[in-house]
Amino acid sequence: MTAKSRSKTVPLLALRATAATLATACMLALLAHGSARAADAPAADTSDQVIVPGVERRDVQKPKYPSNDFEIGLFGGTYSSQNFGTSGAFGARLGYDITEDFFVEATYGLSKVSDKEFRQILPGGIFTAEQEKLKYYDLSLGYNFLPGEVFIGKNWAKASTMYVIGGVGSTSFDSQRMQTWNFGVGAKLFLADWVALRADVRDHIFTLDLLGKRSATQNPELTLGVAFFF
Amino acid sequence: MSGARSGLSRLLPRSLAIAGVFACAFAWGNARAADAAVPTASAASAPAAAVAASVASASAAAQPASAAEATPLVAAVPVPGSTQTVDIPAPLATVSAPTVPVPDSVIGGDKIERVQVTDPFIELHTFPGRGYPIFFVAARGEWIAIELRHTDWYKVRTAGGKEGWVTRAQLQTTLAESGLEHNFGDVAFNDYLARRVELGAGYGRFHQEPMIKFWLSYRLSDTLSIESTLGQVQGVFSGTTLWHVNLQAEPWSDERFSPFAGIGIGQFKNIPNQSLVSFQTTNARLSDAIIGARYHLTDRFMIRVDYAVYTAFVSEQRSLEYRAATAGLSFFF
Repeated sequence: MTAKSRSKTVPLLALRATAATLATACMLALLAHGSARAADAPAADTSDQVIVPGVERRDVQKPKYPSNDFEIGLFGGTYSSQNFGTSGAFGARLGYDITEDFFVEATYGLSKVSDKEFRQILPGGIFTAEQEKLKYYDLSLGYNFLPGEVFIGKNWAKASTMYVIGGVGSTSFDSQRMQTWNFGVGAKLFLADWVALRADVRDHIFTLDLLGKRSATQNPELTLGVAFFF
Repeated sequence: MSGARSGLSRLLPRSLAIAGVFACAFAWGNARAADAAVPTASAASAPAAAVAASVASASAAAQPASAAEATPLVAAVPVPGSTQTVDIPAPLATVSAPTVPVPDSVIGGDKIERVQVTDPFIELHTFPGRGYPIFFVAARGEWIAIELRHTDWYKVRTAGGKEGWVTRAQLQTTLAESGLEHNFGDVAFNDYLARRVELGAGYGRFHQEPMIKFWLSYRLSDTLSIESTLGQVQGVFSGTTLWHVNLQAEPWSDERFSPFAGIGIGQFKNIPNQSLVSFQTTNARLSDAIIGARYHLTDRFMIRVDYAVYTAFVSEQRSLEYRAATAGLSFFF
């Protein structure tokens, strides 16, 4: 990006002038807001009430129920990096069920990558240390499909659903940060209204230029987790 | 110096123009809001009349039951979507709703909402979703307690102690203890204006490089909102993270297609790839101006496109300007 960026030489005065313009616009907008509010205040008093009905006002309360559309969860499993080995992975999720079909979910995960295999033929290695921490986060949209009940033994039936999920985020290791697409499929098994078990297969796709050539890499992850609804 | 002057002359008019558009859009939005406020205000000044009307309709709704007791052969049934009422033969065995008392097993403290079933029956699913089996039905006249909500599903408990999940659509016509029809709220399309918090994500181009961004916005009023955005640009040679907080005006927020404009400030951080020989991180303040439009797919989901101009104040002597266009999806909580 730096190579392509257009730069401008602007004196400090111009920057201040821009800031001042923006601030003035804000003030104007707020003033307009205030005056509009002041204008509609007298409108409320102009209508005269001719008939005063002798009906007692009923105290109507909008019903409020507890809800559990949010989900928080922990997961653990394995993360297979295309070039740098497979390691254990763990992380946390925060989700929200928008409808019975769609949900959104933010994930933060940690794993490790190692350049051990490269060090056998390339003594200096690729990373500064042999093992580097891999961090990723993403925001994904999921769709539930094949809902139904699964039977555990003869007497237990529990609700379950499959889901497909995809989204965008970022992966970072060895001081590099890669924009990452993810997509995958998973299953949820609801043990109760407030707790579910999850299994998830997710591919993380990002472009890497650590090995001399810029190329897209596939990094599948297998995890099991538990989710709580609140 | 000439370069500096041209930079100044280029930057200022654009900012002025954007600020002008913003102020105009905002003033327009407020004028519209003021117009809309007049009927609301007059409606509010005659609340007793509205209550009287609703009581009248409630007693009218209660009448068919008593009429059915007196003359059990014919009941007036309003046809949805038309002003006519059609006489149809009433069933021979009628359960007169108000005579069924609330059973003790459904009473569960002040916080539990109790309603009476008015549909011929409602179906209880084992879990909140249309794919889960129906295991029980509650008949007309039964009292049920509502315990929990998950998306558009409500967990109810019947007098017999059965617990299951019912759709909002089936609870829509139930009667509350007051004898009035229950309002399950946020089902009407109009209610989306009452929703305040919006979350969304978009994808697009930032200076010809791929950008993703997430935004969370809070509606201060019908036409004004505050929005925080986190963006990430992954270029071939460097990566940029930016965040900004905007004040946004949406003059036609009650329309399905609704344009908006905003301005804001934030931070811009550019980290070149470590694989480059020399790299220097840029961390600078930024200001931004944005115009865009929303299109409501449903009452909760929107498509959004926007175009933004970012100015990063890299140093006292230098600023960088970037344009970005993104498209994305957002929803109201």
